Amino acid sequence: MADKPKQTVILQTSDDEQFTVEKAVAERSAMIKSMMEDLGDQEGMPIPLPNVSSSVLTKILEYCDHHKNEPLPAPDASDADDSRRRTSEIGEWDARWIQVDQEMLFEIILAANYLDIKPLLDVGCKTVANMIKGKTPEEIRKLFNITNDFTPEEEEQIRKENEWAEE
Amino acid sequence: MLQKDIIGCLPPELSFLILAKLDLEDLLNCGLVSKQWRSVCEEQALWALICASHSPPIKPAKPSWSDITHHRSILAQPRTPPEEHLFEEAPYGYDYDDRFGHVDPFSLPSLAAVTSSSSATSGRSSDPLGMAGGLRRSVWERGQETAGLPTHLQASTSTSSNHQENSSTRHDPPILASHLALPSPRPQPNFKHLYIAHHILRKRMTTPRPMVSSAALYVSMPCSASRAPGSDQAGSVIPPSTPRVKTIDAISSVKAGGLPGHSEAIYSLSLINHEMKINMLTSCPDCRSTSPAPPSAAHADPATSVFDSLLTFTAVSPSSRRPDYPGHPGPLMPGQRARYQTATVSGKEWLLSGSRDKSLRLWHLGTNDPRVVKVFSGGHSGSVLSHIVIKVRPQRSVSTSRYTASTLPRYSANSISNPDISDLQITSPDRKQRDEVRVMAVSGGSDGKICLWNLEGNGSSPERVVQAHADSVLCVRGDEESGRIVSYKTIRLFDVHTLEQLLVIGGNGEENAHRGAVNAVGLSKDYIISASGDKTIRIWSISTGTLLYCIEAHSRGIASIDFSTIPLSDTYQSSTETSLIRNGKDSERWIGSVVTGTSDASMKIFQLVEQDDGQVMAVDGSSASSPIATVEAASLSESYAIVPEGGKKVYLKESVTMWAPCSCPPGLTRPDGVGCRRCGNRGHSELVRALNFGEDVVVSGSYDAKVKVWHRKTGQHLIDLSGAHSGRVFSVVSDRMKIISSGLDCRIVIWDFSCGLDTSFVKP
Repeated sequence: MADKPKQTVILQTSDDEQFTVEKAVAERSAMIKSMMEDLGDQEGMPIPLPNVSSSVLTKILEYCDHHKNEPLPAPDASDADDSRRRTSEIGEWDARWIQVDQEMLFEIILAANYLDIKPLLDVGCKTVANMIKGKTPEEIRKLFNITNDFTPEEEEQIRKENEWAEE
Repeated sequence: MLQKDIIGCLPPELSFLILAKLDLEDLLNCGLVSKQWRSVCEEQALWALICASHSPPIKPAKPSWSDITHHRSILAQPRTPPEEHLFEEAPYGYDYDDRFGHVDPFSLPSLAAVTSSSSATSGRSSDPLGMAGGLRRSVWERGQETAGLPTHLQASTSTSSNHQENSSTRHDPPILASHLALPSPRPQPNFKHLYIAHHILRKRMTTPRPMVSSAALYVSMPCSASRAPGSDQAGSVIPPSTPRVKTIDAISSVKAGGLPGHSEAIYSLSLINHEMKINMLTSCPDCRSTSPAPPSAAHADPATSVFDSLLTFTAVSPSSRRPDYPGHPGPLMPGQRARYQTATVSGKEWLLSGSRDKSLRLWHLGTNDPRVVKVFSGGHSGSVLSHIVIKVRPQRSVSTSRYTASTLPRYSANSISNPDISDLQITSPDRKQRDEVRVMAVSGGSDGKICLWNLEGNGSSPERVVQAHADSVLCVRGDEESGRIVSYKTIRLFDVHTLEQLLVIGGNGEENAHRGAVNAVGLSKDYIISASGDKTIRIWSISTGTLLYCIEAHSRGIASIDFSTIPLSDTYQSSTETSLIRNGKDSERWIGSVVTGTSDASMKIFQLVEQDDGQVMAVDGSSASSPIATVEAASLSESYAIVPEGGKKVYLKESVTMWAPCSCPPGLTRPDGVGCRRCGNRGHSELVRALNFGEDVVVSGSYDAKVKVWHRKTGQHLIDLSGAHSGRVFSVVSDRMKIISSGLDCRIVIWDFSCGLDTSFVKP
């Protein structure tokens, strides 16, 4: 493998930037992988990614490169996902990698879903969930810069409803 | 830092992935952030995802509309007056009692009259609420005087109508209903409600609390009717987290229009959750029976009259649709049959109890007043010591019975089968009937017999009887796949359909056999787990009967075990997994949990683990990392070499020790009667006779008349249920919503944790 030149694919982002990527890295994305399988080996043909910007793709390729040697999750590995879904632990490298602003985090989650990179989607969702955990509604509003559009009566009504679960 | 409303901007299905990782508390907070967040947080798809990704997944039951209506009607009838809470929480209720504390002499000639008059006068104008206050109190005081008798019956019948009025006038319709308001042939679950109901039930079961005594509960059962979330009074009716106690016995069953309950000690219980239709004989004209009573046969005391004729019950043809069973030896008295009528009782929740009175009785639960609807007798000539309920698919029985008959013909001589029904079972031409799942009970008695009963059938006598053992059959266990086991010094495996004997363990003084009586057995797909008075737990292969593992688990004889393959729920499971991974034993596979109880009142939990061959590891009970380290574990652990079989090793890992009896001098009992003042021991004080696994808890029943709830993972003592039994507790069963215990005092006590909750969609 090391002797041969590494197989590469070209990815084209929404802002028309082209990325030449090692195949093993690009295959982290189940969407790109199946696209390559469907199209066959067409050297030099860029794969268009109209939903991903170059800045986000740069970031995501960083992630894919780091994880390229790990076994790919099975196509329908939802069961294995489920067992780990509730545990909020994120790998050390992933946690450092995902320290980005909220706009980027949002874009990463969207792109991970579009590119079908399940572990990445999971990391993104866990990160947001960890941000929300243990916060009061007011703290959550502050965190995401959301204005409270409830009337005090409505808010009181919901609080009363919630009491149901907290006996 | 750039801010972005991630939840609000993402497509809902991605927001769900995020929100599904949150705890309930966080989720409820998210619903308060903004209108958009609220709409996302209210989506059924989100809650369905949360239920599905819960471990183990929360699946809704499939009730019918009538089930829901029925459940609602039960919820609307509080069993006892919520007096305490009226005083504490609701100024309204206080006012009632204050203003209408007097009793109108004209409207209170008798309890029955009051009930009818107050229900007839609907609306607030005609003072029914006032009567409610006065009546509630008078009934209540009466109930306390006759503690031990089924006072709840009087209380519920006399106050229910009043409370329905109360709640209807005081509560808005609940916003969070247990089902969706969609027009559909079957009700659709509200997954948010389902998840929260599960959450509450688990919290109630696992929250450590001081002693719950039934005496206190009878006074303070604040089980108010409908929990009305979001309604104005939601805060005023605080639902109780304490379990509601219901005692059912021979007399309460008759009063509820059923057949009498057991007249002697109740040794075994099993819960049945299966839609069944049972033909019940109703006999008693002036008990509140569903069928019209013949006017001539009036009795002064329903209870005694039914007791008198109890013996003839089993002899009388149970159904008018079928003739008497041929060859039935029952003494039929002419003229007496007129007193019996059949009524079909259908339901999903049943309880089967076995007793020293040689009979099994089927109780109809799921109503306010459980009653016996069927008596099974005629099989045992001694006490029914143990039984199980098992769902049998008859079409498989044909092949299985052939197999066993050809390989083990010598045992067939032992079986005495009812020719009529066994013919029907094996050669039935009716294909439909073959495909039906039959709910069968298998019971073992002190006479050494094993009987097979068809619960839904018309007969009340056993389908098959086998003289299995020379001595008492102490324990019967089974699973749907492999048949069942019984034990006494020897362990015998039988086929569930034919009662052919498949396997004998320890029959002829084998060296591997238990040296003492085998008091209890457990059964998994591949293994038989036996616990004995010789202090050991042994694991046997179910196919060959080979001894696979043996551990001296306790310092005293083991009286009871329970085995469960239900994984620990939620976070606990993942920690079990990680602990296995951390130890570097990836080949280990968790099979199930075993809990043991001994004559010295100590209890331990073991994990049954299977390991692929190839790795050598020290098998020692003390090597397992246990949160509560046991001092004596090291000295106790005398484990045998494993006999590898099929490339697999199997062994028990000791995980938790519950309180062992302390060595403190006697007389140090705490004032509350629970535990030792010096060392804090909160364990049982006598032999632990009954054990039952729940999803999160272990329930134990002991000769000290107490039922205790323990945390399955940590072994922490959670709840002490005492005061309802006056004698030894022989049997304990539990499900998500309730714990049921029975014992020497002929009572069955239901500790209901689902009080005030709409559990229509909660699978038991």
